[in-house]
Amino acid sequence: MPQKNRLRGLRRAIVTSIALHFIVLAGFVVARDSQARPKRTHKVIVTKLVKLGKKRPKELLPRKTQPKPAAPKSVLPKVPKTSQPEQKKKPAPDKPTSKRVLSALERLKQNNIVEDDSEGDPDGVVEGTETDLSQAIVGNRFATEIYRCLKSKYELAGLKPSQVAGKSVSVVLWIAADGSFKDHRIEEGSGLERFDDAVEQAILRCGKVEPPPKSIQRMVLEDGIEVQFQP
Amino acid sequence: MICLLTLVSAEDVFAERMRIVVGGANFRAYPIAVSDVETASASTDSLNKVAKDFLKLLRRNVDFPRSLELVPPTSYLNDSRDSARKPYFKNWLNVGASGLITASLGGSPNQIKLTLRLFDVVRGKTLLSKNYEKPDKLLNEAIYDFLDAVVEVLSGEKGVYSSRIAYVKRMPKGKAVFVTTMDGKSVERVTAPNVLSLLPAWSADGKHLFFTSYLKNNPDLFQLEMEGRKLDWISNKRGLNIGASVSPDNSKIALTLSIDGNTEIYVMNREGKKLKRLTDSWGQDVSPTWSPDGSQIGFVSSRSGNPHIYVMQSDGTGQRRLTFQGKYNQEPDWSPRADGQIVFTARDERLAYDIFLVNPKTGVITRLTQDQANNESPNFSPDGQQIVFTSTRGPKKGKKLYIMDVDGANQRRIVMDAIQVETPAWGPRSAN
Repeated sequence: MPQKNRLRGLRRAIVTSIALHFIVLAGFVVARDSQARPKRTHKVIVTKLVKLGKKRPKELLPRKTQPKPAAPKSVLPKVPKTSQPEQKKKPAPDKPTSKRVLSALERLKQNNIVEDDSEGDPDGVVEGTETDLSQAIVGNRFATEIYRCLKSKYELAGLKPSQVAGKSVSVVLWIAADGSFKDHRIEEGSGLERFDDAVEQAILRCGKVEPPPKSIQRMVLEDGIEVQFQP
Repeated sequence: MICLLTLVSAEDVFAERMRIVVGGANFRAYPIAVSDVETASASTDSLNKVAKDFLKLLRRNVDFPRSLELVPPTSYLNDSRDSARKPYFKNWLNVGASGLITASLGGSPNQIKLTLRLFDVVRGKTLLSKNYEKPDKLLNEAIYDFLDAVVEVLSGEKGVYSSRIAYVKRMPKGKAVFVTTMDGKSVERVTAPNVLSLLPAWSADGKHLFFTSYLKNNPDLFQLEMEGRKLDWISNKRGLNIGASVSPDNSKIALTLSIDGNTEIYVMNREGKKLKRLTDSWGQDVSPTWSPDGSQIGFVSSRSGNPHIYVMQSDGTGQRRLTFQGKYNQEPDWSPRADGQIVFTARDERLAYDIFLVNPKTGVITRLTQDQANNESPNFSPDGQQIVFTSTRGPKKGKKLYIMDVDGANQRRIVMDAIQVETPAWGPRSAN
């Protein structure tokens, strides 16, 4: 008898436990759904690399960043040699430096031409440049993929920066599991038809990115991604 | 239980919406094609020649502003289905055009009837259509008017084709003021060739041109009425009467006078009366320029030892130094845009003269030109989007006229005949 009672008590405890679990779970789901879900956002941080070098003295006028010099000739791939054996060239006899060259060197000295020093920030990185390429995105790889694709197609033809300054276009973009842009909707236009058109064109021309990771496939398909286009 | 709660919480992750900000748009020109001019089938040789010249000028002008880019005519496809009124859009789309300008021309050379149309090639619709009746010699005015409207349709802001640029050119026996259109089509000398005339400046409505001239043996300020060519003597004070700058409301002139030996900034009314002194320093105070709302005046002062850009209220109060970099900053011109910066010439540590912008609020300086000989005398276009300046770059000696975008991009020479030039002044848009 006591064994039977113990079994019955155990069964009752299990049933009660399951019921309690179910009630707590149901309560949690109901409470979660009844509240307006706050929209949290992933913020993509765009960083800028800083060129390494000495800081330019404050009292001097600024200089524009010089374009990267061309690759040295030694880097160029070697052209395959023909079957003809190469004849060794005789070293050219030393020519006396011409007067023209000497006078040009003299003029350079007189003009006191200053070489461009490497200027930047001592805390910067060697490869850092001040171009768009230096913009590194810290965050989701998939977001970066979308960002890169949209940015490469984002062109404001016929508009000037001052005309779109302070304006932006917010778009929600839904992406299928294969990475194709399933749909998009302009949530907030700029008020400038040509700006809004340019955003639509960027989305249409981009069209597809690499498939989203499985963990976010449902999110990007159902909730979409909010993309804000700024000038 | 914990597992179940974790699963439910994971659902919450799916409710998040990822947010990306895409900036740094590629501002590119609007590719626009200009088809051959359509003339009436029975048109004369003279009309055909007018059409040919007209097309050449139209295509040249389309390529001028930053916002437009001419699709190379050599790539155009000939198609019988194409007409000025109803273009065959597919062909134009294939050559990379987003827009298309067509022209139909008729009448006689004395009275040309012209219709210009702008089409959106992508959408296949007409954006603009305008009719003109002008003698063949004034057809360039129709081009300026139409392209101003094209720029307005595309960007929401009228173009600057109808504006003119005044500049000083060295002559065998003096310096004369010339006025030209942006494309250099009509260059006109407006002052005597054998007198020293300097520093032209436009009135706010573009109807008058101010300049300093030694016509009466003293550097006095004159006003030239552009339409009737009437010359008025505005200021003939003892010493220098130079560097006039007309206020945006067209009611006042700021200028530099040296009545007591030292150059100071003064303000007077348009008739040269009601003179008021604004600066009083031991240094040289010169080159006033009005802020777009007329409440402030930028100027150059050497009161700190070297010439630098300063700013004051238009009544002379609140004078403050704006530039602290460089040792020789001069020739300021305040952008006509509401949030505009001041462009100026400065000599850098390599002793090269270049053009810079300074933000009047923050004092932050941006460089616009570099390593291309000497670049001086910058002056804003009426829309504040471009800057005209002189440059000694290139194989030909002397200063030539150049324009660039306000960010320093797109630098190119204009008015090829203008050599040995100085101090260009970009006038306002035409009132028409």
